[in-house]
Amino acid sequence: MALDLVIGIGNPLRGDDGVGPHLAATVAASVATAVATTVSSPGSAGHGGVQVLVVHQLTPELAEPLSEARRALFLDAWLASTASRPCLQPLRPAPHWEGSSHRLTPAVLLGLADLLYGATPTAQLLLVPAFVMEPMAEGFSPPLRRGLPRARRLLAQWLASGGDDA
Amino acid sequence: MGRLVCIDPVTRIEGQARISLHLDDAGVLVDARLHVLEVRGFEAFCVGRPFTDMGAITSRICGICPVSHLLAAARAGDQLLAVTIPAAARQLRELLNLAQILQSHALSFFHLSCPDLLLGWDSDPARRNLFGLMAAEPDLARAGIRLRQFGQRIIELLAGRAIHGLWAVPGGVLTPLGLEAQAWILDRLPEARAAARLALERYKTLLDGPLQQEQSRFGRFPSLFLALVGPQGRWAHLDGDLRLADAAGGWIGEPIDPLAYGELIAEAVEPWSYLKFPYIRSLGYPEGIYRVGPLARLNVCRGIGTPWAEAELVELRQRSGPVLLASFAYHHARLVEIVVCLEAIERLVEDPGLRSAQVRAKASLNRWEAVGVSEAPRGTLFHHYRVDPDGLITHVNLIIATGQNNLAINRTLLQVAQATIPSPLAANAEIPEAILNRVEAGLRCFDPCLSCSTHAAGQMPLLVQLIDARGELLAERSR
Repeated sequence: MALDLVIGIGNPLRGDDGVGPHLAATVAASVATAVATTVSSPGSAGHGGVQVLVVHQLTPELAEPLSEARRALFLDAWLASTASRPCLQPLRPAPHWEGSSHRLTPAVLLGLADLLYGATPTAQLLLVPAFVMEPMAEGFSPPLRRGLPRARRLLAQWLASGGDDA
Repeated sequence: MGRLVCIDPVTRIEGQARISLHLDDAGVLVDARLHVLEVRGFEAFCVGRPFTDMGAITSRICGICPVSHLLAAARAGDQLLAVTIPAAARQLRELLNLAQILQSHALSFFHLSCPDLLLGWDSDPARRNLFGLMAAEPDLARAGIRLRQFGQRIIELLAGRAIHGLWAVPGGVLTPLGLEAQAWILDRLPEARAAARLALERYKTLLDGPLQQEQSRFGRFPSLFLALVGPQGRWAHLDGDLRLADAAGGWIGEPIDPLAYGELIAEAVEPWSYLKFPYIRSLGYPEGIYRVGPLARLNVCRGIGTPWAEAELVELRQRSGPVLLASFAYHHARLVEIVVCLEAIERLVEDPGLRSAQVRAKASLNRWEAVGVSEAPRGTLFHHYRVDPDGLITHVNLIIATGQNNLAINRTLLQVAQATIPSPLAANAEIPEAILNRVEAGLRCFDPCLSCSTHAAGQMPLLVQLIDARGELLAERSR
């Protein structure tokens, strides 16, 4: 069954880096499905045709569930200036390799899905400005928290659009 | 005037490092060093924590082999409680460790090493990566992805999540394996076996062709080998006797008491690396060089005990000699261990005893010192704890597989560099990227995990430096 795939990227023990998993958890709760921590059960769609994955970083194994999705949304933090706001960016499959073997970019992962499985979803990246990514830190910095309502709004819009954003 | 070549950053390994190649005044290579550039110091901040927290803390050292630390911590905890864990708990921990070794080896072989092995050392560096591999060999790439998923999914079924699950505890494990999980594993096993068979067949064609010389010569030198062995000297990964073998494969002395590991192993330090240099104390430093991991496990064991893996081991020894001395043979050893893991997983999952509800022995603190030992994917792992009467940690020492291979890694780098770099090297002569890649590949044989071995976080780029006889940096190359 074609479905929507939401991938939260980050480490909750590194402060603002955990915002991707945090937002993914809210999606999982809203669609009443369990949050998977890996891609090892890619066939298990949640209610409402939304599958939610939480990962520390993007790995090649994600190419398979990505290729089976109709739409995909990556949720990630990025170090930014104080003036930045959460934003949605369209993604295209990368035509060639970039990055390292252990930490792929969403575009490379889409490229791998296309290369290996001949299919890619319509994909977007929800970037949330992050300011503190210290090791062994839990919780979010004040400027990130100020951006959370907008991030949640963009996420809800994406979920509600049901493919109209394509 | 001498030179220094630097490979920085090293790619397709876990962690952050630099390789330096040292030339004398005549341009002759005289030394090769792996510099590990990061440190985090987990041992220090474990002090004062309850020993029951050690699995949760130490598994955070790494995202690739958290299971190894979890199991070593649980095994040390068993000893502090002075309990014998239930049989089902022992089997379930074995299942978890087999899945861990399987997924880690799949990552190493398919994703990290295959770009070199299948696309060629001299291939275009822009294509010599996972993307290039998937374009060239999509069936093998898909098989590798599914095989690693299989191992990760088993870990997830047991521990609740694939990374940093806290299911193994002092005294046993928290939950048994459910029927649904058991059925899923059995259902996926044939596909996993097919993936392993495909990888082995493909790899053997390379050994019969372009990699013929590498298997026998690449990083070949005598050393000692350390690993766990089971009854009758069979391959083991969790329970068993710790054995040291010589370069002819013969066992040295009696089984080693893990608590006495300090009498066997000493640790040296060098000013140019954060990674320690463990060595066999009785032989001194650096003569006490030894190797751990897949190569060592296959050299130390007297057999495997599962039919397909046993046959693969026999063939490996026919190809490479009765004792595997070339570091390059780590790759083949990993494939053989993937087969062992699959056969052992099947055997365990079909055992009705695995579904016993009794999976944990409970007790209070009964001992004040313990050493937990297990075979991690990259080799033998030691967790040594001392606690106070309240069970709070007063001392921690972690000896990690990649650290134990440190001397052998440096020896391999030197040997590969000497074999590939023209000697003497003319002043200002460029060293081709393909040669530097071969030197890097010497490191990748060991599938090093520097996050674990320095207990540090990070990724692993590579720098190669060319240094003259006076220690001045003459040239460097980075990726």
